[in-house]
Amino acid sequence: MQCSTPMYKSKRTAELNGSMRRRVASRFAIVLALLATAAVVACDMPHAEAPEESGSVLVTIESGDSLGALTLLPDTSMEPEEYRITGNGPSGASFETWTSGGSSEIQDLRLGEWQIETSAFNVDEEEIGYGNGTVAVENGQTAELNVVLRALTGIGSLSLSVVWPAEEVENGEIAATLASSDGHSESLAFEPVVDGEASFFSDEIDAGYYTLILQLLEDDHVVAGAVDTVRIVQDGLTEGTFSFADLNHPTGDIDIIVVPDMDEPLEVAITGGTETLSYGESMTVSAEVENAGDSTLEYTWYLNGAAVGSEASLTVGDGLSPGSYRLDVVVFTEDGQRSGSDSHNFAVE
Amino acid sequence: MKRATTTTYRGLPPVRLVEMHRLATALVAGLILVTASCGQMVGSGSGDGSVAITLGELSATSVYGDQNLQPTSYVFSGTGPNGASFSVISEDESTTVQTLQSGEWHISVEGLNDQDEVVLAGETVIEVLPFDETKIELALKPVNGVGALLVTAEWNGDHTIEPSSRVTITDAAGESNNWMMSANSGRAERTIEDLSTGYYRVAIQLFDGDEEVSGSAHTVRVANGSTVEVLVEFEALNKVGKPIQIADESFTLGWDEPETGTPDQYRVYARERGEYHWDLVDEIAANNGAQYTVSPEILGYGTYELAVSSITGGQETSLHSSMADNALPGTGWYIEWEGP
Repeated sequence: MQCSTPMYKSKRTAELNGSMRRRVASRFAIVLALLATAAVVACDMPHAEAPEESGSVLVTIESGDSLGALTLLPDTSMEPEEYRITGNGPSGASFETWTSGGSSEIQDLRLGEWQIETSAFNVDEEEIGYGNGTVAVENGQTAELNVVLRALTGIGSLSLSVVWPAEEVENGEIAATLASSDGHSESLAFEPVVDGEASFFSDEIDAGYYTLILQLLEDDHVVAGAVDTVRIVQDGLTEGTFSFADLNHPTGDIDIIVVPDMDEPLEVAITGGTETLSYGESMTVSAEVENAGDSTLEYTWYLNGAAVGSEASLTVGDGLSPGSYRLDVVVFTEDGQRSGSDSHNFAVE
Repeated sequence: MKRATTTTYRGLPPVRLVEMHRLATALVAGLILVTASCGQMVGSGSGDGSVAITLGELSATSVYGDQNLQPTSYVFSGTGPNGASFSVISEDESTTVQTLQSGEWHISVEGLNDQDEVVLAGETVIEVLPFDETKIELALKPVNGVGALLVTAEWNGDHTIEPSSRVTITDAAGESNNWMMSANSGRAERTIEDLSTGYYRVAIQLFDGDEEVSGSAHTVRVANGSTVEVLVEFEALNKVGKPIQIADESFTLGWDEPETGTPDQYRVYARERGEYHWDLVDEIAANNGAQYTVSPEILGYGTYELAVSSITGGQETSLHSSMADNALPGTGWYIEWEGP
């Protein structure tokens, strides 16, 4: 069985007993047949000797409950198997008769007002419905009385279970409401069983028909849902299992902006250098970095490929023999992610 | 002026004195020829040196390889709840991905260069909120991995006697390793593989014997899966020179006249090996020829570098020494004169 809403797809399975389904399907036909049959079926004579003046009453039994699109039904069979008709009349007169349904004519009743009560029993001989009425019996007449049977009022139980793919839902919760026809709603507190399953049970539900509204929430967002009719009967247990297989996860958009961080090389320049130094003279050169930002810098100075200093500035020349020299500075950011270098050639003459 | 060397020049037997003379003459002659043409001054070495960096050049001394690190396209991909995923290729630096299932998404972006090589990458984890647009800025960094470094040093092989070269690589953390590069005919080369991507200090030194004659240092960036090449051309060497051992009482220097013609005089200079100042040995008339014989009365026995200048109209040219690059041999030379 499947149910869908405009927003969320879901697959719901209500576990119904097979025989119960057949009963539900056939109930309409039976009741209609009872209503259509006007024939009087066998009835017990309430009096061994009929009074001189007597009348009779024709009791027609009607079902007062809609047996339409029921989904969650109690485990108690609501299929009437027999009806008991009792009457209390004038001067303590009474009768009791049984019928399998339809109309029953009770004859030879004392004239006067009669209180007629009718109870329906299922195959397990459990009373499942009741109705009554009053009728005046007149001499030589057949009074007609339609008795509407209704389900018994009282308290029943409801057991619900909801399952869903646990791996698809984080922090799954069930929001459920049981709404009666009079507009009263009651939230059902589901308890988690295992990941992907939650259940509800109450044995204090008033008998009657309800609308059950179920929603599976993921982080407060509905990912699946179902609505069903639930019937609670006195002392009965109504059970149902809902399985949400296809979930509509809420979606969002992401806007990804790439910021290339190329670890751009440092732009290093040596300043203060001269192209020639007289023998014995020195010069002080500095390394200037344009694009280091706030980075802490580490310097390494090289003279003809040999490391000679590690500060931002370097004094060089004194002690050098005449010749050609190449001065290099390699600068690193402290994190080692960026680097750059520059060179300066000079001669000592 | 070039620095001293420990290289030993085999002494010539006395019977070859003339040959030695011829050798000395030829050496100085070569020196004079260049004197007339370029005016190079003694003591200034061979002029400014230079280092040629041929690949990936960004600045004169930084090498960043030939791999283009500039991305031209991006691959945006993500994996989310319940195995959901997406992949988007775009030339833009941003993209919008819609209707993602809410929840935790692992986002990764790769930047590809014009060769479709992954050069930049970045990743992050975000929470996609339902019915909302989440904006993220993702920094892409160069792809980590390993690369290689090919170092090539070139110089005039005629200017060195026993050349060798050493490359020293220091990573960002300060860890250093060095390798000797086999040198042959003015060229040394070494490939260092399996270097982690990143920046390195690369120092290249050229030795002649035990003496360092030139060197340079560079910033080198190693990129993933590529070989960065550093080509260094050492054009100015602080040469060590060849010692010429003389066991005779005298020897004769010879040189060529300037191309501009015979000058009025020549001046012959000498300085002890390792000293800076030149001492005038003698001034001779040029019409006596481009040669000069040195005897103990003129110059005491010792180890000397020699130089010659010419004078025309009272103007003296700069000195040109036996250590100049245009001396013959190009290694430069000096005498170890011990006498008989």
